[in-house]
Amino acid sequence: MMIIIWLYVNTGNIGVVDKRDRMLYFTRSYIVKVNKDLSKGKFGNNFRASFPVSTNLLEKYMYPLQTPEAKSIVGCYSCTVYNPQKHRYEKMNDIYTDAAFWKIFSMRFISGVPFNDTDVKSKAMKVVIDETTAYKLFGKTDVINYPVQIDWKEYRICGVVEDVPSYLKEAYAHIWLPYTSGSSYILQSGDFSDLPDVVGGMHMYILSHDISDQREIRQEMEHQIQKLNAPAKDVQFFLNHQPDTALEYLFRDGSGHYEMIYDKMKMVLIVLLVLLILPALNLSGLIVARMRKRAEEIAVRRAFGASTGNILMQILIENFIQMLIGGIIGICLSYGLFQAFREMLLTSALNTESYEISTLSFWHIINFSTLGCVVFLCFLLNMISTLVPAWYYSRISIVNALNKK
Amino acid sequence: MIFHLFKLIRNQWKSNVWIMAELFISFICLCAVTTSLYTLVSRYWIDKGFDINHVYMASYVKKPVDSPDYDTTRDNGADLRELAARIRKCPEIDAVGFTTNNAFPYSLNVSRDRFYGDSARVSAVYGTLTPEIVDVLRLSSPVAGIDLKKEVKNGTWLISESAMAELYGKNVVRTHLYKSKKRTKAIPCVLANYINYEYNDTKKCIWETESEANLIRKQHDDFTKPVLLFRVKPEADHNFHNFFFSSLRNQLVSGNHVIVNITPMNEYRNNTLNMYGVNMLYGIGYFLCAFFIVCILLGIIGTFWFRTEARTSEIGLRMALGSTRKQIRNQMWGEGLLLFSLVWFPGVIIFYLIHDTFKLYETSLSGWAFCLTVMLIVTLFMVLLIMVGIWYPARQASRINPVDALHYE
Repeated sequence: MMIIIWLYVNTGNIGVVDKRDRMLYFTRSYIVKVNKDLSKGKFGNNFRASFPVSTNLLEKYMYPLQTPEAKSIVGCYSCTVYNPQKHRYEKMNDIYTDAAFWKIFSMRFISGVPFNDTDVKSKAMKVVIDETTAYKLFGKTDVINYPVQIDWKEYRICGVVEDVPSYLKEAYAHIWLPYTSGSSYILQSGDFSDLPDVVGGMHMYILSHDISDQREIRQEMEHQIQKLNAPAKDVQFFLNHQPDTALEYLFRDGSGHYEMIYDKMKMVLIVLLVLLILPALNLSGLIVARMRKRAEEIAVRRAFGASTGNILMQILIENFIQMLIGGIIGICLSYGLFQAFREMLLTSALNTESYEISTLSFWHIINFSTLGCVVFLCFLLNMISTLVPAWYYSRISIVNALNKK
Repeated sequence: MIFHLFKLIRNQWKSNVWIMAELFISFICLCAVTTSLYTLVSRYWIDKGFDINHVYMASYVKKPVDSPDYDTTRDNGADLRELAARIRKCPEIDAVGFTTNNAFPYSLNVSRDRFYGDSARVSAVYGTLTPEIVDVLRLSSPVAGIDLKKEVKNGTWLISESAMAELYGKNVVRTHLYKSKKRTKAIPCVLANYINYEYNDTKKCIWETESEANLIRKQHDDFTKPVLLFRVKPEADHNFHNFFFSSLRNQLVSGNHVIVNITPMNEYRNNTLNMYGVNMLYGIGYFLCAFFIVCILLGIIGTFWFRTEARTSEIGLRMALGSTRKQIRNQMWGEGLLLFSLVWFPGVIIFYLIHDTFKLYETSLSGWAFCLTVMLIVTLFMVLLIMVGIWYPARQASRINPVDALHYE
């Protein structure tokens, strides 16, 4: 269950990240040698470098994409904010982004509104802050139009949103600013060999109309990247199978071939199977011992006309109900365990000085999806551990069973 | 007695073969799990060669060059030294020093450089630190009697044991190395006990020592900045974060530099290991070890429990023919342990071969000594499991009324 919860927290539609099933991630620039074999085995030899994407590249080549519903440039940094209450500077996590960010994530505004396209284009010094930051800086949340000093520049607060838990790493920050208003190091775009403007510090979230559009979006992106690569002679930009779904993004390696994503997924699947099969085998032994004790009862039922199917179903359903009760207790225990070890199990786009994973909301974990997983796992565990003993004892000889032979 | 037990095992060989297979696999798995567990635990308790208790990292920022407040007339290096000097003046502070961004514990930065001995070369993690860092991190040498504080003041570099072994072999304490292949300028170096973090396999480190002014001058640009560490007196280390910011409130800004936070290094360690997934990886390791141990425990106890319970009628019959409860229990224990002893020797051979081939362990013991220790622990554990698995059902079964037992016949 811990693995299921871990996968769900990282890939499910939770809280403000409620469109993850339609979200695609373009997070890294992969620079490779021109016209070389980029299959998994040869990738390491021809790979040159990997880093986040530059603002220029995203603006010039990715903003024009037609297929997606929305595209948002996002850069996660930490900024220095002057706290007038404490009279000192503090470090806070911020996100430099554009107006589409508010379409992709469902933030709840306590007051004010987000910055819009015009604000981003005009480099407006507007900022959205979260509830906690509003209290920290001003002692209240009704702070629209209040000035706030970020990285020694004065911004005006245009909106206050409810806090975003830090485990929702795509949207988590305390401060959200138009990326165009950022300092030069935020907007910098560096060259790599003869590829201009590819080195940067941003990435892009893409909201598709439907997740099946992924292939079409990828083709469109490939087409755009061809334009970027056209003049390059030494190195070229490689998408490495981006954009990713939330699940692919979770397993993406910063410098590896994209097929490694699927290798890692297979590993997790194998671990899941081992963790499922080993207890199932143990459980199977216990069920055999229990069936042996109940052999007489089964024989009596058979003597009164119960068919093999009746007995089989009875045993399977009995065990399934027991497992379901165990499963529900298990998911609640897993929730507690996950809560206790959340800082170890979840990573967030944070810096090493203030690394804190928010307390997991109970309803983010216990919901229809995770309960559905419990039912499915219990069914699977039941089939592995009970089917063979149940099949054997449903066909037991009445006379032998009654004689305890 | 033993021949009688062999006869009993042979008579039920079909079911006993399965039990022996289970014992064989369980023995090898348990040996592997114990080895992994030992490696995990020993990595945690390894002598790190530094002490981060009461040590803090001061986070400072430089105003962005394009901000209206940026003062172009200031000497940024001097401002940074001024901040360090202000911290140093605090009576609660023991020592203050600077390092580059890879020469402090849990930086997780393993950028390497190549160094040369008289005839050999080594690729080692390389960073720079000021002499005060020896005090801040309480760096020590594996050789008793070496005063690192005195050594680094003379500009002597620090070299880790494995890097030294590669350059000059073992048992060398004080020597020299070269930065270039031409071997023009010999740099004195001394053996130090310093590794980056306990889970790191890269134990080859070479730390250059520089004066504070030089380190800041060389390392302070738009992309890198020195790391400021300081040690607090233990008696003052209570709610120190708040104390620091209240007592130094007016001294946290110097020119374009501002101290924005201080982080205890223990917290920094935890954050770094969480952030880079190291804690998760090792947590999974502990979890899998515990999981396999529980599975094996339940499996072995369950098997012998079930086997003994299934033989209730036989036990009753033996009692009807005059066996005492003690004899019954001893016979059941004897059978179980004999089954285990039959698979023990092949298990030992297979485990030793696996152990020798994959070498998935870290220990100061020799291969054989470690292997024997593991096998001894596992053997005792399995014997215990078998005895527990047999004891209770045998006790219950031996309380059967002989009349009921004869009824089975």
